[in-house]
Amino acid sequence: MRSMLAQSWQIYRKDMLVEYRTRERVVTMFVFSLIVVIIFNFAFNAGADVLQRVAPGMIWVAFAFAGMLSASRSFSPEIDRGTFDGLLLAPIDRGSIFLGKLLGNVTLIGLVQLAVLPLFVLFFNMTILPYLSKLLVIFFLGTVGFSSVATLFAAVAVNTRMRDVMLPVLLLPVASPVLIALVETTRTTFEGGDWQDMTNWIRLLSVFTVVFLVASVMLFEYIVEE
Amino acid sequence: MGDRSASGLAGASGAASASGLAGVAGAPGTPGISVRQLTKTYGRFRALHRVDMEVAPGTFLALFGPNGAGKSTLLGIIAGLVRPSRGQVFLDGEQITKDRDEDLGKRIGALSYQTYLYDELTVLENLRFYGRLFGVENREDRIGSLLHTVGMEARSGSPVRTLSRGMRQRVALARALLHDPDILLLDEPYTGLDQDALVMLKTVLADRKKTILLVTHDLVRGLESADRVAILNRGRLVYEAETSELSPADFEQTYRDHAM
Repeated sequence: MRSMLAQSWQIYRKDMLVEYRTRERVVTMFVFSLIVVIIFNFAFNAGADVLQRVAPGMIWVAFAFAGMLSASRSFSPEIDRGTFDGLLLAPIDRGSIFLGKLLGNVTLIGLVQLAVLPLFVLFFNMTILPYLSKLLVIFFLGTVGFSSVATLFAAVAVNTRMRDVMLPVLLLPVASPVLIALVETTRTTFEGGDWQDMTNWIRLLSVFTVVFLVASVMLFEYIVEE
Repeated sequence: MGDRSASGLAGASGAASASGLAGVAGAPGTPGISVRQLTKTYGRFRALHRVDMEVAPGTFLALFGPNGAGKSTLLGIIAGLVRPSRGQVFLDGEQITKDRDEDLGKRIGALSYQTYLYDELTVLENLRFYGRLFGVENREDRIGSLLHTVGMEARSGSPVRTLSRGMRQRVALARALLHDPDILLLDEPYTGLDQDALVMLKTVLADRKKTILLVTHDLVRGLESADRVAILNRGRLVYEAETSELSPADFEQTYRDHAM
């Protein structure tokens, strides 16, 4: 397990260095999320009450699609340039490739959330500071859970002919429970609700995250083999 | 001429017995590559059909064949990148096609027209990354020595994207040799190499401590480097011979007869 984590760390470090030099994924994700904020702000120019009710849905629509962009781009350049075979040839548990890629996706989505969430607060006139600790837990759980399934399906879709179309088709139905749970918990938090008010949703989020994380590590080897 | 017909290779034990390796390669504890009745299908397309092949330890086998013959698929299966539909591959007498052995990567070095290098990273960063993944000991010394061997010391700090095709191939050779593998799988390794680099590659391949399987369309280079040659056509191994028994002119004719 320790060596698996060490190997994942190497892959993560390499991916982050490549991203730092190209800024390919993070810029695309940020621009996409920003456009969602601006468009929805104009679309729901109906007063603070309505805006605050729809904001959790908009936040997670933006981050889910940004996450899909990140997951897809975590594999497609490696496949296109042939470097993915270089990873597969290495004497490592292939689950560590998945974990490295997952960690990269969580980091990039997290960075975009850090940059875009203040803009949501600004545009939609929301109060965030009193709920910050709760939101951190929800966002962390949700980002890991969504990224697990997105990274797995991105690996499946990348070898198909219509990979850009295949990813949302495969991912969104499976990820719907986690997205619904995220919208519900975020809405409850903004309404001043306590942990007790969202116990079932948090349970669903936690179970989904753990199940997909473990299953993805185990299944990854079979997915990447021709 | 040492010519062996297709029928002689298609039988379950044909390759092993005909090559004089029967009961040696593939047996537990015995080094070398042994391919048994290997079949790979993609949908209805049969890329490999009941291929039997033996590469004894320290042997250099050059595998020829027209486009789509199944050469790269065969290499991919041996490297553990492609799962066969049927049949087995043994390395050092251990079957590698049943369950993936993580240590398989430590024994195999692969060099192909794909360099497996990251354009955004420097030469040194690429080699350090692969060195860590392959668990190379004395990494910095090993990298320094290989960069000297492939003549890329002066460009170690350059991003790979700034290198020419031939330079990338030199770095890819260093990457393939980084963990000092026993077995080298080479798929069109001559791509983009200049005369100096070709001489350097020839020197590296002359190391008879390694078992080498080369896939190429370059009949002359393949023939002059290898101990044995084989021809794969439409997924079947149709010819195999010792190079000592062949002249380049004879082999060109043989290739035309078997591969066209």
